[in-house]
Amino acid sequence: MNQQRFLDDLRGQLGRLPESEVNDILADYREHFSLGLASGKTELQIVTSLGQPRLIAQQHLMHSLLDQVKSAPSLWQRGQTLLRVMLLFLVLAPFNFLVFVGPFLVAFCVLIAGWAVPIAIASAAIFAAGLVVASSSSVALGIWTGASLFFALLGTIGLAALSCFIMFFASRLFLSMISTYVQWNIKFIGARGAAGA
Amino acid sequence: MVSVSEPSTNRTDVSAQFKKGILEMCILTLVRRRDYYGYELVEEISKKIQVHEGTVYPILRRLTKDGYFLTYLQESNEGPPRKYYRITPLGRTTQTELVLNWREFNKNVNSLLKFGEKNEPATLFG
Repeated sequence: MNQQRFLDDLRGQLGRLPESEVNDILADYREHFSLGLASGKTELQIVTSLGQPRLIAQQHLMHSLLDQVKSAPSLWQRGQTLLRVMLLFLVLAPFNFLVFVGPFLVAFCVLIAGWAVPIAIASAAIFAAGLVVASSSSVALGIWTGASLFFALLGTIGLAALSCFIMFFASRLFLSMISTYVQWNIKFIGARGAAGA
Repeated sequence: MVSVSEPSTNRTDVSAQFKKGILEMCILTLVRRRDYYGYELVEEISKKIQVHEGTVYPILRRLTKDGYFLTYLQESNEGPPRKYYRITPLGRTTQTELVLNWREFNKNVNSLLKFGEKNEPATLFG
């Protein structure tokens, strides 16, 4: 492999990073090549001691992902970043992916189940309300029956809102736990590449 | 709660993590002494520690991003301008801390190893 192949290869492997960052990274290796060549080494020698582009790219990708997960401002963006990290894991470290995806899937299922509760309550309330409205035209309701139905409905809607509220915080807790786990995982994989032994 | 299965913590993984930390400490120590440019730093390190030279640059970037180094470009007589790394006050305190921890750790490991040597003959006959 020569310098051009090395740099092209590295650029290809870094493809997921923003263009400016890729150029910045490549500049360091260009400088390394030109100084190495100036000191009398051959391109092949330099490429050999640098190590595989895939390995090097992995280090850079992991570091930048770690930053992204850490600095994602909102819950939604955090979720998106985590999804991207997962896809990357599948490519970079298939074995770790299996370990990683297990707890993630369980957490995900629990979350889905949790969110089903407020949705079920809310739709039951809406359905009941619809039923009452529909039947009130044919069946005359007494004032007390009407009032109690109304308050029962209000209560149900409140219950749905409350469980929505709880689920929101539960989701946030899950996400932050997963992101801690992901960061730990990234560090772990990253370190394995760096030592390169 | 969700049970997190333990990833493959085999010996090579642990030593890799270990090596990376040591590498960071060495880089911080070198740059603390004087400003270095990347190539020179890589040469200096790979003289003593076996590394894939290309993986030193990600560490340099990380240390810069975390605020331990500042970088600046300087023209040279031969070849293109070089990117120099200079340590920051944060980098300096971190280096001091790391080296202190390392010395302490080293001392304890050595005393454990000595203890092991002393006791080996006994276990042979015991």
